[in-house]
Amino acid sequence: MKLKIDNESVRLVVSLAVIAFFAALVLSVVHMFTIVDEEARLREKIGEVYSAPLTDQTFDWTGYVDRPDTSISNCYRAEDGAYIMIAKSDKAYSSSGIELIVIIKDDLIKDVIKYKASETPGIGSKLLEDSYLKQFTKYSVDDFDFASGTAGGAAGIDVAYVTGATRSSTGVRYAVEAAVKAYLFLEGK
Amino acid sequence: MAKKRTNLSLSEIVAPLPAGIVKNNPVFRLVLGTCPTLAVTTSAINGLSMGLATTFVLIGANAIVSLLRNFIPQKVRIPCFILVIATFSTVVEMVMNYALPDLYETLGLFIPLIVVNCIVLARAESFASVNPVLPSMMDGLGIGLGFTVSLTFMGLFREFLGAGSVFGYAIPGLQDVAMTIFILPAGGFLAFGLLMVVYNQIFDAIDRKRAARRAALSAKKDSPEMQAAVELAERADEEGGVQ
Repeated sequence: MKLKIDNESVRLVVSLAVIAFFAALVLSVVHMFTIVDEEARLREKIGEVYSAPLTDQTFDWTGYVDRPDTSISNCYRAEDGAYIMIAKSDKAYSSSGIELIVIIKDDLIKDVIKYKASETPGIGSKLLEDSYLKQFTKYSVDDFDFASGTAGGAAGIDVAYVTGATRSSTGVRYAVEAAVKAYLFLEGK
Repeated sequence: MAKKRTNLSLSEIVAPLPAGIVKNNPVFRLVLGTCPTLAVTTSAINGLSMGLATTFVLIGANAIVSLLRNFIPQKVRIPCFILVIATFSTVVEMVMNYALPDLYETLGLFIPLIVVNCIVLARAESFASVNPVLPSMMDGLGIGLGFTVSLTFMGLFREFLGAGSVFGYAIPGLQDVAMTIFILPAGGFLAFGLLMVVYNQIFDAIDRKRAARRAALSAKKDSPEMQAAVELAERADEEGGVQ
């Protein structure tokens, strides 16, 4: 079968190629001006919620194991000794999960702040408010009994769930527990 | 032979604008773009943001499609339109991620899904591909504004009833009696149906009144007294003034 190349075929290909070329050009230019430095954005956010400057300390996570649906995406050490962890849980309303900034110092949970999450306004969004997240700050790391805990989480802590957002409430709890576990691992406890 | 140049008057350029907001409202009249309408309107600010993002894509895509309407071959017009629309949609996504990260996170997947929003492709295919650039941009603006107003209103309605707040500001006392179902998907359909009924009832009544007024005027014009008056006026013009 012979391939028929005529003026119309050439015109089809050329028009598609020209439009694709200009689209790529426009997107490249826009991309140059809209590059997001995630690390800088994160440090800025941490700076807003915690005043102590961050050090450049790195951590060895060899041997650290957590739940399959949670992770510590970033960890910093402040100059005053506090650990600032970005704990992520996949249990959330949106597929991108919930990311929390958990600040632990001297075995106490100092603060829990929302970093990234997308929840239904009026339902899951209540989980991300300070008034809800602050309930974790009454606990120390010793209150989390991972040994006696079940698949539902560590024993020893009592956290209220938001009606209509059970999955996301679980996600928030798991993220905080992941941060506590990571703290205990790094401190060698 | 000299090329005939057609200059569009201002009224011809601007004509598509009001039609897109009311008569051809994409949400409540044409029932297009229902997926983002239902998914994103859990709050007024989400609806407003989504509407504005879609308006930008509509105006840009319509302008480029109209500019290239004599260049794009008929056989590949849909892939070409999609390419243009996808470019603008990606620009919106990049800019939102850079400048408005919280809103970008909230709207999530629905920003890139503007590409497959049938409003954008439908207007490119039915209007922009057969009209000059300026009217096409006005059509994009009109349809976009209609979409924005509809989404904002729907978001306001659902947020007010479902969360007891307006644009994120809680209304004292209302949050205790808020009907959560209106923020959930089922409530989205309820709100959509209710608002569509109200919208169409109001504007159908306005259209009926206008049609009745027009009919009354044309009946007057055709009456024997009116015709006699018109003939007298024409005769006076021919004779060159009043005797």
